Amino acid sequence: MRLLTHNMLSSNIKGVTNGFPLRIEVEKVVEKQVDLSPAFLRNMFSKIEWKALVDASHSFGYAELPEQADASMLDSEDFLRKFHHALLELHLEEGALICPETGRRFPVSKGIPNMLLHEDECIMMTVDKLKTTDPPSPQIPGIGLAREKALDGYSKAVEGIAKVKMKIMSKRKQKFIIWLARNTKSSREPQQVNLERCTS
Amino acid sequence: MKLKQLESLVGDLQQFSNPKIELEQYPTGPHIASRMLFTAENSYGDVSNKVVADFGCGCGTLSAAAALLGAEHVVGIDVDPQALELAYQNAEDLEEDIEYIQCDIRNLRWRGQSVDTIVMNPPFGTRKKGADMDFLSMSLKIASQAVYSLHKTSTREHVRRAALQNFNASSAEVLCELRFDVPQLYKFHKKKEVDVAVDLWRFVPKQ
Ligand SMILES: C[S@@+](CC[C@H](N)C(=O)[O-])C[C@H]1O[C@@H](n2cnc3c(N)ncnc32)[C@H](O)[C@@H]1O
Repeated sequence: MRLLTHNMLSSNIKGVTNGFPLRIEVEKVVEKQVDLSPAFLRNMFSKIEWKALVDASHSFGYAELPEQADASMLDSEDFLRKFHHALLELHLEEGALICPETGRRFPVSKGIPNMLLHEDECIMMTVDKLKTTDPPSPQIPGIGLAREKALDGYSKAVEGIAKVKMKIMSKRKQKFIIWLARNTKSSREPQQVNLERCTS
Repeated sequence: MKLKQLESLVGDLQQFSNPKIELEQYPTGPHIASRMLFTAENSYGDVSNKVVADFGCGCGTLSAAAALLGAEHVVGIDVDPQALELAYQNAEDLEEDIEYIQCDIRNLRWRGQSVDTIVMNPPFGTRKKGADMDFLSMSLKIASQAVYSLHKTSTREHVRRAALQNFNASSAEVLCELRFDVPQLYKFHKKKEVDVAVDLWRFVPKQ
């Protein structure tokens, strides 16, 4: 993982408000040479969080970057070379990224950070999904509306599942969800998927 | 690089050996992959010298094509470690520097619109409804310049509406219609190869 990637990534755990920058735990850093492109660096400079780059490069044992930088420095060849080296040529091969807020560790192996989350760390995206992905409601007055309502209730129920988790869900609620799913037949897949979840 | 050359280079890459049904792992063929990136580069200048991300990179065909066309920094993201292993190997074989991240697209969090261009062949949403929309929504939050994506032609109006109304797109354009051969990887496919009409889209995100 290059420091350019590190400069873009943020901790993705639910509830974390300031997940950037991720701290770096180094086991192994490798260097791979790449051609220097002044145009790319000039363009990139404004998008980089400089302090995060400097701190990260320190953790790699590279101390050549100035603590402060401004766009005028981009005229210096020496500066460009160091910026290029830190940004693109140093790779975290083995180690970890650490969430600055929770201390959660994301292992990096063979240069690939593993940012997969456990279920309870995820921000569920399913809530408004049903609305945006649903095919247009049938044009029969009343029926379309009823379905919208059922879907709405359904997506709320899905959200509920995420919160309370299946194991502590009452039988009554499970039945309710299955009932909702049956009553929203025309949107096929989602309830099928979620039904599996319900019963597992 | 010529189109033919690009197509033949990505045609040599290894493809999924044990595709996972639930993740819709079918490879983006060399024909489509090369045309997608070639258009992005030659008609729009969205690849060379850019930061490019490949969402749901699978075996890494699109990432590889981006790197071959001179992208400065390429990041492939997939939820599946086996796919990433393959993509990693493919990049090694081509001697291209490509970065990979293992992450579920739905849980991706990046600092602002830090990527220039996103290229992707998302799951079409046939296994998990809305999977394609998760990808589209997220990509339009992270790209600053353009998103290239493939969606079933049958969902064209839905995709356009979602992109412009619900997600962060300022424009949505179908560049061409292609035939996507979904090979008979899965038992539930009755025919040997299922030929699906797909649209190649170019979306421009709002700044
Ligand atoms: C149609 S394939 C893309 C193929 C790829 N372009 C290639 O060249 O091989 C879809 C990919 O998305 C990945 N995927 C599916 N759901 C995902 C998710 N929620 N997050 C990240 N990747 C996902 C699958 O593992 C699969 O590799």
